[in-house]
Amino acid sequence: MAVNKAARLCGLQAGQSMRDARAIFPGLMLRQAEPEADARALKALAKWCVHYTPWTTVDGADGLWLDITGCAHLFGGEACLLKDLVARLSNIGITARPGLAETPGAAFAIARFAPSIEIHKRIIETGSITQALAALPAEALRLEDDTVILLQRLGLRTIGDLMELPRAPLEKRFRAIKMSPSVLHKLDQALGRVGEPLSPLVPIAPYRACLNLAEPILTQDAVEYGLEDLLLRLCRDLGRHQQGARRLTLYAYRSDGGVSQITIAASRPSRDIKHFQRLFADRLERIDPGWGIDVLILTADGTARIAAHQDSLIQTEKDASQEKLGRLVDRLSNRLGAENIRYAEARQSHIPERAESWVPALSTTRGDSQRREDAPMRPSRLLARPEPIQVLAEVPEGPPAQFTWRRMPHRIIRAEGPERIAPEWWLEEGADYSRIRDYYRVEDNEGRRFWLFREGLYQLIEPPGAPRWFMHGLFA
Amino acid sequence: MTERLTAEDLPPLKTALSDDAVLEDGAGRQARLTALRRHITEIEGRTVTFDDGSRYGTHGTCHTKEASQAWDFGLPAIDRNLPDGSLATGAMHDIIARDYPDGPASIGFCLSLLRRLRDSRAISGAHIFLWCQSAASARNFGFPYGLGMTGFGLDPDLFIFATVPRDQDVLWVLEESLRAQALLCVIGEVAGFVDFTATRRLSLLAMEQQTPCLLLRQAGNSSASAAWAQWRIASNLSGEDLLSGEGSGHIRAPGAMRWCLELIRCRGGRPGTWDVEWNSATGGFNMVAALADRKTGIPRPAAEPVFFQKRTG
Repeated sequence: MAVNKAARLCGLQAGQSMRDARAIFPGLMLRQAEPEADARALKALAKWCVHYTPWTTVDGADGLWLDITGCAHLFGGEACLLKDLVARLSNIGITARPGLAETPGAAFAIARFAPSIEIHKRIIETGSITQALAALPAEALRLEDDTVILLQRLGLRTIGDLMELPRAPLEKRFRAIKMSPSVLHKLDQALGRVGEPLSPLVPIAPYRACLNLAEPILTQDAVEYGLEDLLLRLCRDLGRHQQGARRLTLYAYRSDGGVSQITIAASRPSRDIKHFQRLFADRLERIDPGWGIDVLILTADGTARIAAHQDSLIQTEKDASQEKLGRLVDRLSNRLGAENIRYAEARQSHIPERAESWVPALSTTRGDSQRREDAPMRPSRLLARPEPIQVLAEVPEGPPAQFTWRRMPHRIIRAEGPERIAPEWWLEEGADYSRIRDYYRVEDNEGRRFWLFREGLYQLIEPPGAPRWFMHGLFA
Repeated sequence: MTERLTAEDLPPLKTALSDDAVLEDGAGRQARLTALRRHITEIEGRTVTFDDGSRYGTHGTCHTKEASQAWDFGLPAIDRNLPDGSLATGAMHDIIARDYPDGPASIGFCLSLLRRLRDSRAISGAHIFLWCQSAASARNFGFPYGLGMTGFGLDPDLFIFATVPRDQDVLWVLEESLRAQALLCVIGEVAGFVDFTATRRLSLLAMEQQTPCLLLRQAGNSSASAAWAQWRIASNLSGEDLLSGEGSGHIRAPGAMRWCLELIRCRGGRPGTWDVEWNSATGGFNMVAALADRKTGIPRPAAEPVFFQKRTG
């Protein structure tokens, strides 16, 4: 059982049983623990903290790591950053105990076990790690419970005690119990002798522009204005390194602890601010400002090198129209979804629905289509899925004389076929001859032309089963 | 043709001729001449050819001396009903199916027009078509199949395909694509009703950008439209199949594609009805003779018929 501050003031402690707690305070409110929901909320909080530094990750079930190397000056110093963080978290309703040190181990120790609440006392200055950690209890080293009990029995209550002991006997003593490597390792990590890398939760984008707003903004116009500023800075950065961006993500950090993001993609890397503004304009209404947006961050996730080109005096018409086409594709794909704007590419397959596949227009790789010169006649429209039809056919291998499709009967007067297409046994296991298709190109008495097939052979299917007929395509 | 031009209508050329005026440079004078020519063309209501060889078409379309081939049918019977004998490239065209199952026929006619358009321009491979359909249209008549377009002589690599949820999205895509000025032709396929305002916007955009826009509509949706031309297409029995031949007594294969075309209205042209056949090898249309000996049905032979069999796979 976990308790909050108000409960603790009434005399309740964490770990008590429910009955005892109720006895002490009858009007107690109890809530079921939901560890998964807590974990998700913690992760969301870590993502929210990304506006302090992109290097954030979750620590256990109740902590966060933030690597603020190089970010502190943006907030006016380390102490100010911690104060700001604690203040904002308490605005959301979360009591946070910060700790700042050179190593994650030391920061963990000072955050959880520091005796005073004052921010200054919770920051370990460079070079004073040993002093600061000496007074903290041994479990601040992230040790197992039984290890801690053992250390207490040996009289090693604080980290300082551990540090005073020579290493070799410590190692020898604990090796038999198989706990020593862990103790010494954790000590070394805390003191910085051994590195402890943290992997960030959100992958860090190579190019990033940050805008801290003095007051929370609520309107879309304000977001557009901020976006313009960010685009200017980001594109300038990209220009310095001769890079162009293909994917941009805008993160909006709200003061209530939520994050909204929108991503745009372009088919060619570019640094064109106007183009990106237009692509974002379609999507900006998806950002929900909530109680106000405090921070806007624009990251370029996918970049590629583009040569610094001078706008040539005589830009060839072909280049110009290619560029215009690229922009059109970007605009349509970002508004309607990249998978809806596509090219048709031929594939090596004679199963009709696999002989061609859709490739999104935004993807750069446009493989060379393998188009055959002597391709058999195919309909100009193909149904998404072959639709079953009811058929009246005379002979085992003849075209239908009449069929009913979508409840309309058609009488066939002309037919060509069958064109036999068997399943590709080299691709599928268990591809058997019951799925052989015999395609017929037929015309009905009103001049409408269809492409239908029979699946299965009469000879191979025992009665009362019968091969089934399907409509697959429409000719002009 | 009544004389409607008065002296006040003409741009003030007489100032250039006055003695104390500075002689106008060539550019200003040329601009005034162009404006005057356009004015005359609008009054005439038809294409006017001037002495120096420039032709101005109706509604601001300009054919320069180096114009490429016209976008037409190649059949005098149809072309003479069109103003200037060709389809306007800076305009919107409606293609409507006569009945619901005639949808694929209207799509085929559209593809044949695209083939004619591509043939009439010197394409360097960069010009591209955009085909946009709504989800409802995809449910009705399926998706475009690139391998089937080769039957019209069109390379599917020239197309960008778009499938969007609603008809309004189709219209939006058409407008954006016209504004981009990056395509040779823009085709939209809608399943529902398109109101007059939307067609007028598309029509104006097409004229402004000098890019043709083809709108495929389903039967029963041919309301008032601002399109330059409206076509109604119905399917028709196909022509002779060259392979199986006449009188072989067996069931024949479907032959060359045929459609019934009806030009409902055309700005500056005359309506008409024709039966045409599409020849994909040459990329042209043939007229179907009025007295064709079309057999509507062939009695089935008692014996098992021999078909043109192909085995693949």
